[in-house]
Amino acid sequence: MKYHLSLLALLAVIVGCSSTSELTYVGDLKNEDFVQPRLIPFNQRTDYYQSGRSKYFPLLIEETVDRLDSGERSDIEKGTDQIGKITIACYDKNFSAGFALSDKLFRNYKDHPAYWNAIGTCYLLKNDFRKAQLYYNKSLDSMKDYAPAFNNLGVIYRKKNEQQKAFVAFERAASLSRFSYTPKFNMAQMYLDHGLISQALELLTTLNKIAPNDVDVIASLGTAYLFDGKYRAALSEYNKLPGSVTSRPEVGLNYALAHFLKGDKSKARDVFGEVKNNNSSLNGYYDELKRVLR
Amino acid sequence: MKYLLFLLLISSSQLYASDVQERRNEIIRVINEELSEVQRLSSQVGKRDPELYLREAELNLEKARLIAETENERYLEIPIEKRRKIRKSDYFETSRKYMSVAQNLCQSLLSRFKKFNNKADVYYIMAYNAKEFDKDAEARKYFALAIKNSSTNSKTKLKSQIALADLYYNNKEYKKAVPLYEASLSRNQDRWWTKDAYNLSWCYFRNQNYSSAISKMNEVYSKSKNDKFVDMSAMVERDIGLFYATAGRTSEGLRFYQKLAKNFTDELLDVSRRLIAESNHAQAEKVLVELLKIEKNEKKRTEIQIELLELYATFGKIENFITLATELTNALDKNLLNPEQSERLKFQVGKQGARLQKDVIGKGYEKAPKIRETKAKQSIRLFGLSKKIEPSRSVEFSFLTGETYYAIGDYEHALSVYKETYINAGNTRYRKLSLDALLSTLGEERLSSKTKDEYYVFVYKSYLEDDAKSAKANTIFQKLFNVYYDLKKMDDAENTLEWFRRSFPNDYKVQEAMIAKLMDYYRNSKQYDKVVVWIKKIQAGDYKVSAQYKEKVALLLTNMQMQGVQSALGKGNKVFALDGYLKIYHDSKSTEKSKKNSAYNIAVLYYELGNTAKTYEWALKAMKEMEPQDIKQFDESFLTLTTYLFNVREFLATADLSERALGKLCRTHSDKKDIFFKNALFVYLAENNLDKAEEMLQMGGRCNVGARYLNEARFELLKELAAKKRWESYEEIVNRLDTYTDQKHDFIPYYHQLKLAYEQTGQGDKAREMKFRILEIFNKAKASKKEILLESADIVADYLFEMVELDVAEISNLKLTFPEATFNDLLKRKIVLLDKVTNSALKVHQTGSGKGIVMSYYIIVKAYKKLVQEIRDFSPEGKSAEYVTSFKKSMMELTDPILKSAENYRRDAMREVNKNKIMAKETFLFVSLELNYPVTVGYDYGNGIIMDRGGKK
Repeated sequence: MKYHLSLLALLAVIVGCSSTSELTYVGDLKNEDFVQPRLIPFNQRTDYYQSGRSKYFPLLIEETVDRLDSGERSDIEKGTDQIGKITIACYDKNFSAGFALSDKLFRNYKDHPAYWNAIGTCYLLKNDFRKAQLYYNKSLDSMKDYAPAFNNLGVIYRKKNEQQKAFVAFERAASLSRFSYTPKFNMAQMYLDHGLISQALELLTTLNKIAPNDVDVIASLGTAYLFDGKYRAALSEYNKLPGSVTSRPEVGLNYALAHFLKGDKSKARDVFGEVKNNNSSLNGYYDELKRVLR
Repeated sequence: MKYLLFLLLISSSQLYASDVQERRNEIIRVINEELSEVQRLSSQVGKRDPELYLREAELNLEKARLIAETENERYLEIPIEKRRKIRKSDYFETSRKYMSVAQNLCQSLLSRFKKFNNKADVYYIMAYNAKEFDKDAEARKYFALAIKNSSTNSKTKLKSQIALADLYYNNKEYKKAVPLYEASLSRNQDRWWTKDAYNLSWCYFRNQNYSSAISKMNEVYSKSKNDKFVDMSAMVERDIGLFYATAGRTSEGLRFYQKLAKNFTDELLDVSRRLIAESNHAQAEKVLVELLKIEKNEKKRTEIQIELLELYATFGKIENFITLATELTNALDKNLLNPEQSERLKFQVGKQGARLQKDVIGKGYEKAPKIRETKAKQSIRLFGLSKKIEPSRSVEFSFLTGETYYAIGDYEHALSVYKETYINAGNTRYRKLSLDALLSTLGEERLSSKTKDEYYVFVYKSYLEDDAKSAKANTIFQKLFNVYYDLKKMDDAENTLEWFRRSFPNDYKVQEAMIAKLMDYYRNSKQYDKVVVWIKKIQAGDYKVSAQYKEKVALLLTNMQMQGVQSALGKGNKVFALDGYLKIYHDSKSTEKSKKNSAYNIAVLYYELGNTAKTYEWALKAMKEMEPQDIKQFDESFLTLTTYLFNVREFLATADLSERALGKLCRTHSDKKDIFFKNALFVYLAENNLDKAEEMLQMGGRCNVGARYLNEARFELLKELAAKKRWESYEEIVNRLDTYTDQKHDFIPYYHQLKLAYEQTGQGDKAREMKFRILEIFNKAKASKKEILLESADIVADYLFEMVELDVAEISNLKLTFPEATFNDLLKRKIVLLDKVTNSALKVHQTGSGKGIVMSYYIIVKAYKKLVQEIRDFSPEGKSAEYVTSFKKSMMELTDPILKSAENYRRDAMREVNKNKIMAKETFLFVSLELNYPVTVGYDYGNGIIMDRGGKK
């Protein structure tokens, strides 16, 4: 049945409104408000941080806020990279600001994989693994082969000690984004962790060629050499590292050991003295080395 | 004196009678005598004298006539009824005998005496005989011969002419009679002249030679005064009026009768009656019409008119009849008719009206429509007169008029008359008859709509006022309703519906149909307030309708309420639409369905606005109010809304809405149930709301969520329960896992977790029981070649290593010492144990655990190296340096193969690791072992770098 009804007349009758043109409930809402904002499309070619050049982390600087210094982060915060702002807020533990911004950007970026990846990262940084996982999966819903999401799921799996799953995730991310370095770096770390030294060396050597000044790569390569029995080569790499890096126990302890193995106990002690004992998983190593260097 | 006279008269008559008979007898005697004589004479001449023949014939004829008179008298004495049954000729045998004799004599005469001069006489006799014998044709022939063969003025001729003229006259052959009469009467004036002239004047009259007829009649009248002639005056007086009237010389007739002191009208009335009796209607009419021209007296006129009316009735001159009847009816009004005349008028008008109507209704004139129509109109006019003549039967005649109109298809007039009849019928049977007739007429297709419209309401209402309960009334109600509807008189239509409802409270089909029409009308004319009124009436049960219609109406209202808003929505007026929906929702008059739909649409609109709180608020309202089938219909949309809420991190809202959706869809076959279930449960888990997660799991089971989803949910829930150490809930779920699926080997990690919990909480027996259960399940799965989780394999590998560790510890516990025999023995035992350790460790490979494989090799390599070191480090006490040197050398040789084996196992391990890409931290142990550094190296670069972007391509 077709009803040729005039909205105004109908409303006047059906709802008993005295004035047929008066909007009773919606205030000053306008039709334009319903217009969906322009969706920001994802562009793979611009999906990187354009903050500039990092002296110490040239390898990963375009892929992760974790390797940006405060100045570079500040540039992003002042810039137009909205998603980057979310991530930086969360890295700064300012989660409320990060989420507030993400809510604001939702309607523009709801189909953007990097957007959802950023929200997942916020939750990951909050150690809310479930929510992080949900949003990384959301990112993959937007784009099924978005490498960062796979990589970050790998990070979650590592945190949950699901090592095999983590490695598969990193490997997947690496295969999906052959020119990305974070997954490869993470794979190299897993190789090192799991005693696959030759595989680690191969990968780290490649990365080193790409970014010979990257302290992460140098440190990892040095460790790889050390675990391969090549303490001199390890030393050669460790010597390139700044003190801010060698003071980290995961680097400094091996650096000190390398000096010791070379026979330079004094140097070993110097290096050891700078190491911050703030990694509980290396406490045993720390104590053992301390005894040896005594 | 009188008496005497009477007696004398009687006597005279008797005497006369007897006289007459005597005379006859006397005459007959004389005739016989003469006859005898003539016969004798004839015989004497040998019968050669024709005159004698003739005479004999004449005498026989005369005799026959006289005898016939006597016979006739005797015949007439017989009663009429008896006479009818007898043969007349039997009483005239004697006379006929003599006539036959006469006839034979004549024939014989003619045949024997062909030249006889008096043939005319002979012919005359023969003619006369024939006439007596009623042989008119023969009589005419012979009379004509008699005339032809007789001389001009002969008696025979004259008598023959008259006789023949009489024959023609009697046979109504007036034209032939006239010349014969004229010829005879001009030459003969015997006493019978007046009688014959009287006939002649009638011949003239019949030949429409009125002038001659009147003239001759006057001559007859005049001569009748003379004793010489037969007195025909009475007959002239009787007939001449007709002549005058027919000739149009009424005034002359009037004078004629006036002279006689007689009333012309009376006379002519008599004449007319006579003529009518003779079926001479035309003449009778002429007389009466003429009378009317001159008669001034009203009563006389009435008398004439009545006669004429009846004449017209008989004659079938209906138009004249009607005209005259109309005049008479007017006269009746003026009391100019006596009772008898009134009755005759009433009778005739009624009779003719009925007869004409019968013709109209009958089949006789079906194929002559014009005649039929004429008759109908005539009967109608007569009915109209009847109404005036018999006012007490006015209604009846009115009805008959209607019937007549109906019969000829003049439905418009029929309606008018039926209506008038109905109105005037009072309580008579014509009330119902006329109403039925009205109804029937209205059903005629040929009737114009305009006319029908004029009558429908009156007719239907009139019917219903008398009968509002019968089956026919039911139909009439519907028709009345439809009439009002077509006339757009909705108030009346509604009243009719209400009236119908009171009469047929249980006939919901008709009520429903009427209501539907009203609603259609109001809808189309945008009178929505009335639509709403009716919908409310239906919903309140004021009108009985089918459940299906009730639902349809509710849907209609909903649709109406929604349509306008949706229309705005379709045009992009979302603000209006939103406002409209909100108004509908808040309006107490809105139907439940409208509200539900509105709530849903409001939620959707707020979703489009990106208003999270309102989206949830209204989605919740819609969810609460909607029925399961509604939710199912919109499950995709609700899924979108819950997804939106999740996207904007409204986790509790997401879970709540998803849970409610599942609750609504629980008993349906929606394919979204699984998704709602998963969404709710996983979000509750993400929110650390394990109680809700458990509730969701139970709900999922009740609502037949897919097994895959349920199992996945169980496992995730178990992980959280374990993390939170909620072991009771954990235990409860785990112990029921095998009721959900037969893939028990998938549960090993969860059983293991429970085992650990048992161990941590001092429930050693239960822990052991669980361990055995795990091993049993694992072995069964392995035997069945089922696919086993890596985690499960790792767990079982760990269990197996426990035994291996014991053996390794036992090796360490055996301390080497001298004497040599003891040393050798201990060494032997250590090597046996090492072998055992090797075999046990390698058995772990069968678990398929990557970690187990690495660990097994590590244990072997470590044990081997440790033994080698122990052996090489042993130095026998109290022995010479040479002995010691030699001992150590031999121990080196002894341990080399062991070391080599260890190296081989190490290589095997790395091969396995690389081949199978085994990610086991245990591999690092090999690294440490191999390095032989003074410390056990460690490494922890974190759990990986978070990747925010894909990087430059």
